[in-house]
Amino acid sequence: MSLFKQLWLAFICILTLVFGASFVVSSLSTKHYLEQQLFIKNSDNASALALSLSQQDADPVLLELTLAAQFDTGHYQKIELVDPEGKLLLRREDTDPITEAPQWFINLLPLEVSPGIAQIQQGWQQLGTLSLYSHSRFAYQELWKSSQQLALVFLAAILLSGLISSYLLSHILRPLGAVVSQAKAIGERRFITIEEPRTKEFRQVSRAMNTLSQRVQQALHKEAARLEKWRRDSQIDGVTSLLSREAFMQNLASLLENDNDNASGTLSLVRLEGLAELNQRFGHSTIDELLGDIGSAIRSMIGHRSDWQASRLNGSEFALIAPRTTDPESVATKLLNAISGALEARNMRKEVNLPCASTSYAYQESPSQLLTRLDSALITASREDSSTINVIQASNLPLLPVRDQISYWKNLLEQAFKEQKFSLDYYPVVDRERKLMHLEAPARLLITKDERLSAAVFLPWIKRLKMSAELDQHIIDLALKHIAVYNEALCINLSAGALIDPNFPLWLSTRLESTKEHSGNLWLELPEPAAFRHLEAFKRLTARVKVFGCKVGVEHVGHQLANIGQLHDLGLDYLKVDAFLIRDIDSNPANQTLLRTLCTVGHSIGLSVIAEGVRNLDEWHQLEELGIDGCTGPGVTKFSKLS
Amino acid sequence: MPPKLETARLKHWLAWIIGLSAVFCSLVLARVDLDRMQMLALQRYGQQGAETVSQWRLMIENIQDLDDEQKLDQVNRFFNSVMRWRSDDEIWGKADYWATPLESMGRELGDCEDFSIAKYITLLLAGVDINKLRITYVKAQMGGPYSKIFDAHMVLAYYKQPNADPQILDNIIDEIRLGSQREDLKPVFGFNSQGLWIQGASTPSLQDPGARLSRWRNVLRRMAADGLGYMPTTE
Repeated sequence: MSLFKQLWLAFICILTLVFGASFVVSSLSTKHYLEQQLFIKNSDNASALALSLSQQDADPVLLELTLAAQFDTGHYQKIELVDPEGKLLLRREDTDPITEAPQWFINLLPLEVSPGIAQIQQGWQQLGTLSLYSHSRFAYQELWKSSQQLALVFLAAILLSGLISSYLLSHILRPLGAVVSQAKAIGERRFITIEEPRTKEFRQVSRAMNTLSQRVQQALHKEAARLEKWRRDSQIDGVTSLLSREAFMQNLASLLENDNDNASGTLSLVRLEGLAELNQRFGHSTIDELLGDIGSAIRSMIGHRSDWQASRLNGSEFALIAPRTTDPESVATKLLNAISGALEARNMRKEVNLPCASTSYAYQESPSQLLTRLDSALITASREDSSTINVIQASNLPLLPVRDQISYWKNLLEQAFKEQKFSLDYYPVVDRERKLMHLEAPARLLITKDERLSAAVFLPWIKRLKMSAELDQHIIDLALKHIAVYNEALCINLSAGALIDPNFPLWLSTRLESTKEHSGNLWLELPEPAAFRHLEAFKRLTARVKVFGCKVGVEHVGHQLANIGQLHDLGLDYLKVDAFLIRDIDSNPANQTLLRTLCTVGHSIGLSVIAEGVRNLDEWHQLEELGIDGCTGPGVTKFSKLS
Repeated sequence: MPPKLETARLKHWLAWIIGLSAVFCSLVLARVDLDRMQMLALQRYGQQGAETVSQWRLMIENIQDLDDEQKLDQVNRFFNSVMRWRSDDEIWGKADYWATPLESMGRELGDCEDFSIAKYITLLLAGVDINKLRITYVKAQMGGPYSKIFDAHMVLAYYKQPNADPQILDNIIDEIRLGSQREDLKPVFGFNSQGLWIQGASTPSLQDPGARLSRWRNVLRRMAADGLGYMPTTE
């Protein structure tokens, strides 16, 4: 029973006891009072009657008449006259039953009144003893009425007190709810802080927990900052503060392997022709400053588009990956403008030529192919007039106008939803004991019997056509059906579109409620950029699905390590580290340090850390040594199938 | 509920709380306790008062086995000789004050009702049946059969049989005579304490506010405090 109920019951018990006791005392004292009054009346009337009879020369007839008159005109139950020998001379009695109060009440509170007794004498001669009983029916009426009123008043008072006490209790105990949920949250490793309640005891408890939460938060932020610094040190080019070539290439490779909407986008390249001459003219340090300016111009152009990556590939080449963009020219123009802006600021624009090339990339293209294509386009561009953008497309990419592509995909996808042509593919994620943690299940679209489109191909269009929430619902349905049949844990990627769809959370709750017994096997994850961009929505969704035992995580972690600290109060279960940090981990000491710290930080707030895109056993072994909790990727699929 | 009940109830709650302990004490104290009476006499009236009470106790013991006639005679003579008549006004400064036997013996003074009460109680203590005793208001003709002076007076009447002519214990004359022989006395109303000790209560309704209002019950109550409480021999 809850504390509230117990206190309330105790309150009501005490009230009932108090009111009950005072009811009894009050009734008894009323009864006593009435008895006394009746006795005094009996005594006085008996004396008065006896006195008056003693004064008359009372013959038997006169005696009887007087007593009868007294009885008939007064309120008596009985008048008796007994002569000195004990013989009954006269008796008048009212035998009507008392109807003024119920019989049970009379039995419960009987009025015990002694008769008034007086002696009648004539001269020195005794005539008899007079006993007089007043009627108690009026007293019963009064007692009954007052008891009823009293009971009503007390009942009303108890009810009122019950209401007031439940209000007061809820007021007093309200902070307790907050304290309890904070304690629960910390138990789930969600380190939240709450406003300190005013009640002293509650305040002490919540202050202690707040302090704990704050320490954890501070530690997390510190660790996150350290992680970010390491990432910068190992991946950032010192001069431009852009990605180093190595990090950029890892990024590009992992993007092209990503089976999601990041796997298509645009890649742009700009070359500063004439940098060597400038170097000679202005000196090395000035040119470094210039490159720094260019770097910061590019970074401010990228701004909040956290998934865009820029790099100085070599001395004079700048590259920009813009996942999920479709227009190479406009992206390249942005890059070009940033660079030329920086040059103009130093009045050096005229000294250099800025050939620019841009292309779209697609899932599973090879990075070297892509760069070769761009390089040749850049050569063409540099032969032509300065600062033109040469857009080149891979020969196998559809060259339909955008409008036609949209209508093509719209038909295709609508058809797919109608005919339920989506399906799931399954890739194992295994833990340190090489046991299956869950299956990662990306979506597939069945085009013909043999041709299935991977998510990377159709997801950009799903997003563009604002079908994300619909697809996610569809996929979750498929996943829950699979779980119901095979009873194994399945992991689904949610999109930002679903996260911010106002109807999605409610739909999800209803859906999970309807398959409660399977919901615990559903893992849901969100890409890092979406998670941080919609942190509040993500927090709400997490709280919502946690009720059903779902696991929640973030995938492709690694680009915004400084933000990791913000995850302290979400109650997440795991992080999946992006493949670009995993690639060649066995030979990359900097990334090893980074991952080891990331694991420590994750574990401290109860998160499992899983590596994505593991390609071979060397990487896998190294990762296990670093404290990673689980691995997935082509290598894992291959070797776990073997075993 | 009528408002007059409210104050009564309040008072009674208080009375209940105080009364609970008081009742308990009075259960012990309000019995006949002649030692207590003796002690009070010494405290209030000194050696002389204590001596009188002591003599009185001795007399009660001595007459215990005698017949009623002799008890009447002894008791009547004892009080008529020990106490002298004074009006209430002279003794107490009040128009009408009913004294307890202790007060009467202590001061050795008394009005007619003080004589009657003292004799009545003493006879009860000596074992006389309460039904035979009546304290009686009489109209007394003062100064002989032809006197025109009448006075309100009180005597104690003893009825040997219920229908008998009673014997009258008076403080005006020492001799006990029959009612019919006392032509100077005209009885008006007789009473005793029958019916006042309710259901074996230790005192005549000590907690009952009515006891304070009635002069007769008031004196019974004060007597109980003096050590002359409920007398089991009386009914």
